[in-house]
Amino acid sequence: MSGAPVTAPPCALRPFARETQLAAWPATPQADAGQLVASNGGWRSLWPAIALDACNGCGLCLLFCPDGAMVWNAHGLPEVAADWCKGCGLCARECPKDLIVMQAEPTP
Amino acid sequence: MNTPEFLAGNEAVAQAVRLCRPRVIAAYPITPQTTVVERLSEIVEAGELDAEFVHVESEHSALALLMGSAAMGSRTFTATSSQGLLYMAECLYYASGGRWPLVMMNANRALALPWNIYGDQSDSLALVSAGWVQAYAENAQEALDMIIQAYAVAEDPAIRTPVLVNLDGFVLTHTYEPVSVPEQAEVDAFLPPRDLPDGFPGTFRADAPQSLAITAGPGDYTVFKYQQHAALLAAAAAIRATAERFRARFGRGAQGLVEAWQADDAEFVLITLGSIAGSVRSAIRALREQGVRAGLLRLRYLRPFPAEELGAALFGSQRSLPVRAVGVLEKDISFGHQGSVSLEVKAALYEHASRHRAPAPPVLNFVAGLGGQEIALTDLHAMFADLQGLAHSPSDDRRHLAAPGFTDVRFAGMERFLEENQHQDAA
Repeated sequence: MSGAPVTAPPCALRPFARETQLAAWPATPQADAGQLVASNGGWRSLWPAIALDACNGCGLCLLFCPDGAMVWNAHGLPEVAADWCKGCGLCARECPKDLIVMQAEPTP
Repeated sequence: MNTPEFLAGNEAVAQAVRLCRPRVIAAYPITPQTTVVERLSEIVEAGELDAEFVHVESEHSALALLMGSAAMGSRTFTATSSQGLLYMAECLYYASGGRWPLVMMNANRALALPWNIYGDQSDSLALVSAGWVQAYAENAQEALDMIIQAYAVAEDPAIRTPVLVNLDGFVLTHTYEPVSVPEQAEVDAFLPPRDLPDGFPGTFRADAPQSLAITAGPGDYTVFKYQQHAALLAAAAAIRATAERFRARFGRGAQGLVEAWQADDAEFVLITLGSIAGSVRSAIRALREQGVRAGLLRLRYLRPFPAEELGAALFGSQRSLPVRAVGVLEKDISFGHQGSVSLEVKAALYEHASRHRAPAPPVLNFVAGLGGQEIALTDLHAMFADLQGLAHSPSDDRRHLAAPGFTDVRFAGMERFLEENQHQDAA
């Protein structure tokens, strides 16, 4: 399953217009697919840490993630898009090799 | 001119919808709306309208389905009533916030409890703030005309606001009247094409997918709500322009959001909405013969609220005599205060008075017709008598049943308890 990027480029954050002109504002609350207008990161209390050494790239975490927060990295392995991930832990529950562990947010 | 057909209000709506050629109709039946969607399903079945008719499992689903259809650029229609309208309340706000140009017909009917299937205006008035244009038809012809105009207003790129067209349950939905049904070609020429143009906000194509109905945080949210409010205010001009264009093509129809009748010299003005206006005209004719200067202002639209039109009708320079007393007649009570329409009218009068540093006339609120209660001609005469009494001796207006603390709210149908209530007023 690994290979082609599922969400590329990963995670474009594109906030609503910041211009002072109302005309620059979107006409409805909608955006191109794959864009986020505001980061979901604030929802997160735990971060899904992936032990990539043992990952075989089965892709179940990508399929199950309800927010499309898992993307393929350049090596064909899953990577978490920080602005997308709400920390729900579904990927950790579904990983057949138990390689994903919900843990404290990494300090930036 | 084509020969008038003999149609009930609901049938007139169905004919209007057929002529507007929506691609998707989704509806759940509810009395007294049912015959609209029954007739439409027959029309689709007979191949007279090329549309997808979806039998949904609820009113909530009906409106949700229309939002999805509109996002694909399709013209849509649904109709509901009462409990059904309130069941879809969540979707009403979704639709107006998403700025989808939906058109819905509502058969005004009482709300439970107690269970009651008859007409009153509590349902749509409960949702007057949902961001939809709200129109109220007086007769079947106006209902047909309003539906056609509703699509033109809703789909105006500058407005993009859904429209709710209200018909009084049974009194209008089920009463047969002669109705002029326009030719298809005429309606086609009047309306934009039945598919929204490419790139119409709120729509997208499958080859350029979008996320719809997305989030907006504090701050961002306000900007969307402000835009929604501005568009709804701007709808007033669009409604007037559309009505003017309609009149030019079809030769009929009121122009304004308020229809004034015998009002310019009226000292006693009854403001109302919907089908009862016909009876009010009869009462006014009789009163005028007795020398009473009575008049009618009919609110054709409640959203956008026609505050300026109302001010002009009551205080404009065209008036030959000042207004001495105003009555607001509505089939609704906002429990714990007064009728919703009365509140709106009083707010407009207060704004007008404070802006022009002028006194506002006294206002009586007549709450009548709840749960299908008949509003007889004699009731209307009594209301005008109340207005005259109010103007002549403002202190002597306590003989009527009034909610405690609000002697200007009168409940029609409670007169038989008048004696019983005297002690309440005294207390």
